[in-house]
Amino acid sequence: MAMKIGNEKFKDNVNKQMEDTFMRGAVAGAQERLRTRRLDAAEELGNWEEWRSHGEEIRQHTLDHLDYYLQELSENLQKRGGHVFFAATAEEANDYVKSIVKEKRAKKILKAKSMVTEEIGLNSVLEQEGCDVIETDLGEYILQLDDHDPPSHIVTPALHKNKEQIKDVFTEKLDYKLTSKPEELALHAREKLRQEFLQADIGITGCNFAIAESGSVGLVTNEGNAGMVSDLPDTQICVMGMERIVPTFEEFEVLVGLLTRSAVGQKLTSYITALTGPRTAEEVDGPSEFHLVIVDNGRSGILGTEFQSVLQCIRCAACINVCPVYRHIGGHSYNSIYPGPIGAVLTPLLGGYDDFKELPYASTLCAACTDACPVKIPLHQLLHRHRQVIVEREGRAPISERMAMKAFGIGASSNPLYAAGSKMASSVMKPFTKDETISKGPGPLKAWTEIRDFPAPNKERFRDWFKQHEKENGKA
Amino acid sequence: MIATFEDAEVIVTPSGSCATMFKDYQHVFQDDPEWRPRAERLADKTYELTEFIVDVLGIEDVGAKLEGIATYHPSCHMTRLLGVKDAPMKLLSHVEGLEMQPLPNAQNCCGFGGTFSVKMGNISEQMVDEKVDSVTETKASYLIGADGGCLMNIGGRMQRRGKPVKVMHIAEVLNSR
Amino acid sequence: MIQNRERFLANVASRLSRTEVLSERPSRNWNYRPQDKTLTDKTQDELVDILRDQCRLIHTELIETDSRGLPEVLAETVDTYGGGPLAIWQDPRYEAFGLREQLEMWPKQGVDVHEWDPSIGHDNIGIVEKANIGITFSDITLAESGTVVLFSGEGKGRTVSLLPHKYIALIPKSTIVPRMTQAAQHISNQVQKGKAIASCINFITGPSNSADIEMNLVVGVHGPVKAAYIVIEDR
Repeated sequence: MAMKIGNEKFKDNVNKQMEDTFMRGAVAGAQERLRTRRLDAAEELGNWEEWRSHGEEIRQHTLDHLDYYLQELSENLQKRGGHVFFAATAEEANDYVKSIVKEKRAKKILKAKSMVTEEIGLNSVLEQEGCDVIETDLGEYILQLDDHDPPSHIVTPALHKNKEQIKDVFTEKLDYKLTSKPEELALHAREKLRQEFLQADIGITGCNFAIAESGSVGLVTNEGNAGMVSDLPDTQICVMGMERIVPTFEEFEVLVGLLTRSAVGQKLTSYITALTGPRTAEEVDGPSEFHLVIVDNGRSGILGTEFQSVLQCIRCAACINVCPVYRHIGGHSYNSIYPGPIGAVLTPLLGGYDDFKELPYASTLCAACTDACPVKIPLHQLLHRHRQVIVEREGRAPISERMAMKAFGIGASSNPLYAAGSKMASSVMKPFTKDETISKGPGPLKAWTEIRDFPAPNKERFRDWFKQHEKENGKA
Repeated sequence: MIATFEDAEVIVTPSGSCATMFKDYQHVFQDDPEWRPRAERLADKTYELTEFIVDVLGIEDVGAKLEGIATYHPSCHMTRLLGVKDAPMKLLSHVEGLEMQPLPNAQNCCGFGGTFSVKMGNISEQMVDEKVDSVTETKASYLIGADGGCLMNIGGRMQRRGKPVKVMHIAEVLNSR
Repeated sequence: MIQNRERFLANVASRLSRTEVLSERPSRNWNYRPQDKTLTDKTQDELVDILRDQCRLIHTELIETDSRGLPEVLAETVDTYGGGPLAIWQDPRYEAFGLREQLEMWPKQGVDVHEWDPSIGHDNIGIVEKANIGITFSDITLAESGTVVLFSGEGKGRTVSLLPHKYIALIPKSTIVPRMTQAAQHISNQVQKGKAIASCINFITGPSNSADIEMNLVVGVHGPVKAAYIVIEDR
């Protein structure tokens, strides 16, 4: 699996997903809870707008000086005995990890949840090498057991599944005999995975934020699985998207606080770990070998463009948790491991318009996402910008839309034309009008009236009413 | 649009969405030395209707009368982008005979979104249905809003579903006597 | 070893309209610093109040005592958690806080105590994994979030707080700071002074948990299923 999770058309996906009533109920419920928790956490912290502005300026500063900070990070990690590999593409990253696996003759590989390794399709590459790759985040573990069902959310990947479905997966794949109680399911996973942790050869994690000043990698979890993955195997590999970096521990703290509050409404999650290279000579647990793989895979193409702010993203999913479109169509409709508003902006940039040109249109531009973003990415503006690029540069918008936009452009550009147009509207629509409404319209109105009635243009225009009104009041 | 409206003393629009766009031209033309200043001047004198009445004219009671229970849908662009949240509520609270009921999940988009409403018709339908259900829950006989697009969408769907709720633009409410 | 860096960073620099990779540390002039006014006006006693309230939210028991009462309180907590085997760090603070006697008494009562022993290497992990309770000191404690910060080191195995079924943190009151800001500043200062920071810094907030199944909170997933903090008056 890589970033693209299917070959179906967006519309077909949406139609299929919208029939999944459990998924839609689950998503709506989760959104409600996560939204409330995020708002409470922000309220409790106080000065939320100031925190957001600080988060934004940290991310902007880091991106503007990304070359410096990546250089500093790699120097400092090397000083602590770590290895750093810069990968321009997914293939380069996967090949490097593969080479370590071969060198170590590793069989069992443990993973903590990482979106970037999903993006580069690392698991399937390692499985082809004959490795046993085990996801340890409970949500990812469930999906992996269920024949690699793709994640539908970047923080809670198995959001679309209910506990009965999860129980069925466990029963089929793990010979599970208990009930669908979340506690019992989680305990079973704990016991199964505990044995795996102790036998693993290599641990692979993502990276929430690397810290340039010290060469550290910061990991944020609730389950404690990242700790297991990094403490127990003798070799550790961290894979990070190249933009996931901060200058110092001080900025790390600010962004971690924004991340945990925005993602799950917690002040901090249960486990936040800063790892700096392999274990020291005096230590006995932790890896003896530490590798950091820094992945570009299309990100540098976004730097320096009008879309640069999307790289500010800290993967908290706050935008996903407020998106009304995501609520109804779920994560899988987006055909990308990055769903929701952030996915609709990021996916076409990383994966191209050919496969993902519908995504920027899957939004009403209601700006709930922009409002929720803890680092102030103007998501709705970027979605709108995508549409402009698609229309202007690529000429890929449907003809009807291009015509309508052009016609309005000409009609609205001069005072007399605008006045004439608004005068005509009522008579043009007359044949379709019944009881002041239009329930079966022509042309573009057809799609509208399939769902709702359309009010007939008012026979009296505002400018005529206004003149009449002034006359009556003796002002004309 | 700039050329059409730039000679006006002030520009008042009965739509949060339109006001937002008028204020956004300066960003569209940010690299254009000729149009940018013109767009900035336009932005500075553009107001959404309720914002203009409350914040510029300083009027909260326009002497309107309307009997019944109503609920108000705060449009996305008007609240989130333009930042106009309180003005409509202030004006409505002074309408004689009108009882305002809070709209559940008021912050949710109604599913209009311009071309979205036809391009992504089935998603739009689900969103507007959610909004119609919220309106129905309030038992209001009027749904008031300040953006034509949203009202046309919600109103059209309510009519299709046979809901006896009258959709009114806030300007109509304030003009009721 | 660093591989492929030159080509990679040259590309990044050029995307940022630079002809070569920036070599001078950019100055960070922030316009906002909300952390400087968040909980910074609290006294040590007020911080304990905040910590106490927060512990209720993170499913963690908080017990307050002083050095004299500590052995008894710890023994009681261990009892409630079902006794041994116990795993502890090799750390002079147990003795400094008057726990030597208790540590010697437990084995006589049939409660095994494993003190992290660097000389036996990897075998520590197998023993710690079978422990019922891990007990460590907190190096820095964050009141706002209810977090204990642990620096790994020679006698301070990182798995002691992670692998046992339950976890007890011993928190000298003097280690309590308002929030993560102060811990981050402390660590950053160490780095700026050229000191080597711990290879693993753990910020632990209560027991492990997950909400991956239908958003239901399950306490105790991969790490400890229960956690208790014992705050010790030390000033």
